[in-house]
This record gives sequence, structure tokens and C-alpha cells, in this order.
Amino acid sequence: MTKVQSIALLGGPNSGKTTWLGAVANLIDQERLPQITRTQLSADTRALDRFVEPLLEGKYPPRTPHGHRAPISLHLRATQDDGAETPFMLQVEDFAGEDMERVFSDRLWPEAWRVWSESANGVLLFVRPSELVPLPPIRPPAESALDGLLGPASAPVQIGPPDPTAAFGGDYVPEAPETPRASPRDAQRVPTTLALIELLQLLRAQRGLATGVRAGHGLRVAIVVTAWDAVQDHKTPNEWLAQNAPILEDYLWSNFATEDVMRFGLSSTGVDLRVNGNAERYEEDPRGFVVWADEGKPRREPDIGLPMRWALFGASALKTG
Amino acid sequence: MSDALPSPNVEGLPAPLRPLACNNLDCTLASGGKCARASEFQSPEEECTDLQRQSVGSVALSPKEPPANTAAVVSPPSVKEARTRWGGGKLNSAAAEELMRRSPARVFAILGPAEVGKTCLLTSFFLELAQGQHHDLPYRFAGSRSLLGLQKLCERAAAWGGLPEKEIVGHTTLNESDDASVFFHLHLRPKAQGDNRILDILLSDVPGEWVTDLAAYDSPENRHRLAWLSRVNVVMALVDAPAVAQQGGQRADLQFSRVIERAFEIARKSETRPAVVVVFTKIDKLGDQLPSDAEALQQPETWPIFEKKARRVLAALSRGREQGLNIRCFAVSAFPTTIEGGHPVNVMAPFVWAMSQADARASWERPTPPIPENARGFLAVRRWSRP
Repeated sequence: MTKVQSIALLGGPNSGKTTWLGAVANLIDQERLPQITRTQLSADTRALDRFVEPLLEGKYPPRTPHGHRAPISLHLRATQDDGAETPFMLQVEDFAGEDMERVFSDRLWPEAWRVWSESANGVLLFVRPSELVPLPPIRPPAESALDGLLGPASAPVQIGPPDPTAAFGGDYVPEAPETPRASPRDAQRVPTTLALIELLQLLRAQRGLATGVRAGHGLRVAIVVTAWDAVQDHKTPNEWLAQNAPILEDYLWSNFATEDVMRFGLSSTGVDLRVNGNAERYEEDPRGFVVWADEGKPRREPDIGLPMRWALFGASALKTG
Repeated sequence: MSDALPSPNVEGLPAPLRPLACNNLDCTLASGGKCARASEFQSPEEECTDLQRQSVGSVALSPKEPPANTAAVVSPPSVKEARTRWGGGKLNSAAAEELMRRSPARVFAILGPAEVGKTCLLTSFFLELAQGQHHDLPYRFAGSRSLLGLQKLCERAAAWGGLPEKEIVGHTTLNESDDASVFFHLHLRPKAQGDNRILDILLSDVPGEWVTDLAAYDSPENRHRLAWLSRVNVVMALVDAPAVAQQGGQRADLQFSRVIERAFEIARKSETRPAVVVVFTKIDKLGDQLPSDAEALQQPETWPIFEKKARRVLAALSRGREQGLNIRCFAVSAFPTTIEGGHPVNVMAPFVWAMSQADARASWERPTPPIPENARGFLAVRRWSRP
């Protein structure tokens, strides 16, 4: 019997979930998604076609409306490095971004989410840089009496900070680099990932996982930083997340085993389709790309299905890329 | 298998006749008639907040929620929804107590009159934590049951335009009920490798008027309302430094000295021997009137500006130290500018020190058994590895 594997796409409104789903389905139709092939056509393709058809016209798919449940089932086959083939049925839930906000603000938890959260193999957590940095650009503040007070802080109290190099040697590269120390004049940022964290907390509670329990080989969480083609000043999504979503990184570090968290930079279409000429470019090469950190160094592959394969099969999916 | 609740057709039924559902997974009252918390309630249906009546268009809504005819407005009829397991706001004393029963939570009492900056200090601390500016704090964020409340505080702070006469995060108001929600909650995980604990941190955020009342008169009502003060791990007394230092600051000096002394009294009477932190707030307004040396900033006794203006506050500090209390002073500014203008001044320092006291654990010297001369085998190895 074909094993059922399920993943969910979570993320705020306009975070790129639907575009990714449409782009992946488009590539599966063309058999251009590495290591994943479709074994049979789903009985009902309407939900999927809703995401794919706009891309064929060089447009982004419409957003998933609030309250709309879009479960999609795909009969697929994964080919491993050694040639072994694993047939599986992929069930994907694309939850509307507004529903996520609703869980956070109105404290109403859709039943479908609760049902899914108990059985899912993995989560693709979508964050879009332009949605996460809502503050205006830094502007230099006026000189003030504050200047004299911004000297060195009081002596820190040390209670044995971690020293991974002591255990792993000087070549140790942390998965998530430490957030740089801010200077007094740096702009502060309101955390914008608290809703995502709340959702992960609820998922864990639903699965009976207490805070801080790092259940190895448990629920895999892939953080997918979308529109990566527009990110200029960071080489890896790990660097970007450390700087822009440190509280999410802290939460993941505290609650998940290292092997159950992976960070990807994703450009589902490879280019911004709203820019003139890019629709044609996408039509010629619809592969997009993903970027991830391999021992701290950026690696880029034209395989937007990689986050999904990683969520389903873990680190073995990364070997061939 | 899902624990999704059955969804009978409840439309048309008056609220009291709708099927019951309970958010507590151990409870079988709805199905078997036995309440998981029967020992706590005489009438679970009326008293238990986990127990809810299903309503039109939603799996469950609390009986205290809008009446049946308005329930459809709460959620679209096509989506079945239930309340999340926690509310996301501040914890009330019952929830805090339940949490304390489960784990040795560290409770911070943050005390000070209205407008001294209690909520601002909390907001600024959380903002620093959320931005990864916890380099000196040996813990990382691991979760919270108050994320929604903290998010609202951050949003309010972000909306502040920098005008001193405008409130930054708004004045904390609570009803007078015994069950008022007063705690922000955080889970922290030690950064140290091998330390797998998760610490529950409860940060009190009470109206300044409650503290003013407490400072003036330790009445039975106050003691009842703030009963949790008897088990706090850290007492943080806030002093508005510019209010004391300004011309005519005698009244403020008196008011803050009372708060400090009451905080000391709480620490003295408590069996947990809490650490006491005295935080001098809004120091950006004092500018160059304060010493620039970081160490001197922790010693208000040495501040020239306080020499004549803060005699009562300094005397209270002196008395506390004479009584052998574990006291440390810090000078901070939670919002010296708007949040896009820069970071706070020294806000993490009081929490870093307070956590080092609240989470202090006795460490014993490693046993070094005497190794006999000419020892062989395992003992010889021990001897070789420990010169």
C-alpha cells in the first residue's frame, strides 16, 4: 500500500505558499522536478489547476482565501540516490495566511489544522523578507543627551556559555549564526514572526510535545525564505534569519532537534514575474531555485521541490540536491 | 486519529441545550459525565473555563462568549473552529499557580507607581530578547503563553512617535477582581550545552495604583490581591530617576522610598529570599548629570545629582543593605528614542543579574578521592588525568 506522507504549507498572507505550490505542480506536470515523478493523475485536479494556470500566463496565482481549505493529494514517486524508488501519496494543505493571523489574534483554531497537526510529517514555514521588515529605513536620530549614556554595558554575568568549538574543534559551523550585537543607534525591529511561533507552539501542544522537548526525527520544519532572488545582502537563509528573525531561530533552537530544522532560500519562479520580460523568461525555464547553507557555505540548485523532499525524507534529500 | 469534536447540528438550539465540549484532553465530562477537575469545582459547567458549549458555526465557544444568536458572527459558518488552548494574553493568578505547580517558575515582581515605566521596561526587555540581543543573558527564548499580549505591547511601542508627553505602551489597567491577569509568561532555555531545563518566567505587570496602595498601606485586601508576592524570586522596584532629581522632587523621593522599603519588606518576609533589583528608569532625561562610568551607574549613592534630592531613596537603600538583603541597582532607559531611533540603554542588565540570582544553583566541588600510591587500573588513570 502506498504510504501517505503529508506536509503543510504555513505562513502569513502573501508569503509565497501558493506560488510555490503552483510552480512545483507545473514542474511535476512537465517532469522537470528532480527526483520526483507523478505516478497517476489525481481524481480531482481543480484545486491544483487553480494554482498552475495563472503561472502558465506568466502571472502569480491568486492568494488562498480565508477559510478556504485546499487539501491537495498527489500520487508521486521519489527516486533516491541509490536508485531506490519510493511511491508515496503527498497530501498538501495550503492554509490561508489570514487563517494564521486569525489563530493568533482571535484564538480560533480551525478544526482542519488540528486534525492535520497530529499526523503531518513536516511543515514548510514560509516567510517573505518584504513582509517581515515593516519598519521604515533607519534614519539618524538627532543628537541628544543620550550620547553620554551609551557607553559599555555593565559587566555580563557568565554562567557557562556554550563553546561548541571546545567540543567539535575550530571547524564547527553552527546551523544558525549568532545575531550580531546591535549598536545603540541601530533601529529596533518589532518581531513579526510571533504568529508563526504561536502556530508552532500550538502544533507541538497538539502532538503532546512539551516546550523544550527536542524529539529527534519528529516533525520536520523547513523555514522557506521566499522571493530569495530579491535578497541581496545575505549569502544564506541562515544568515538572513539570524539577523531578521532571531526570536524564531531561538524558538527553533530551543524546541527542535538540529536535524529536524532546515532553512531554505527559495525563488519559486526564479524571477519577479511582475517585471517586464520575466514572464517569457519563466516560460522558457520555469525551474526557479533554492539556496541553502552547506556547512556555512551557500549552495544553489534549480530544484524548488527540495524543501518538500527534505520535509519528507530528511537530510538524505540534500545529498544530490 | 483526530480529537476533533463531533459537530452535531446545533443550529436552533438555545445555548444551554447545546452539546458540551472541553479543551482539557483528560476530561470526559462531555462524553462520560466526569470532569477532570471535579475536585476544584462544585459546578464544572458554570465554573470551569475549559468547558464550553458548542455553538452555531463553530465547534466550541465559551458560555461566557456572546449569546447564541451572535455566535455566527464570530466565525464563518463553513469553518469549524475551536478556541486555542491558551489565550495568548497575560496569565491570571490561577493560570500562574497551575504553571508554578508544574515547574519551579521564576516569578518577577515588578513594582513601582504609575508611569514609572514598568510596562515599558518589560516591553523593552522582550524587544531586545526578540531581536537576539541576549548576548549577556545565558538563556534563549523557548516559547511563551503570552505572545499575543507581548506582540500588542511591541506594536504600541512601535507606534510611539517619540513625544515625551505621549504614552509609549499605555497605562496598565486591570479590574479589581481577584483573578486579574497580571503575568506575562516566557519560557527560557539555558544556552549552556547539556543544560536541558526549560524555565518558566512570570513577569508581573500590575497597575501602578495597586503598588502605590501597597506601599502606603499593607492592607489585608492588598495582600490578598497580591498574594503571589510571597513566593517571588526577584523583586524589582522601579524609581523614576528624573522625577526624583528634578526641582521639587521631594514628594517623588518620598513615594519611591516607600515603594523600595515595601519591596525590601517583601524580600525579607519571603521564604524564597528573593533578590532585590532597584531600577532607576528614564536616565536618558538626566543626560550628562549622571556618571558615564558603567560601574558608577550602578551606585546611585555616588551620583552627585542624587546627593541632596534623593535622600529618602538613598536612606532606604542603605537600610536594605544593612539588613543583609541581596540588592543590586541599575540605571536604565527603556525607550530613549523611538524604536527605529535606537536601542534601549542597559535594559538587559537588571534581568541578566536577576536571572543569575533566581536561577543560582549550588555547585559542589568535584570529589577528589585520595589515590593510593602505586595504584593501578582505573584509579591510576584517574590519577594520570588529574594532575
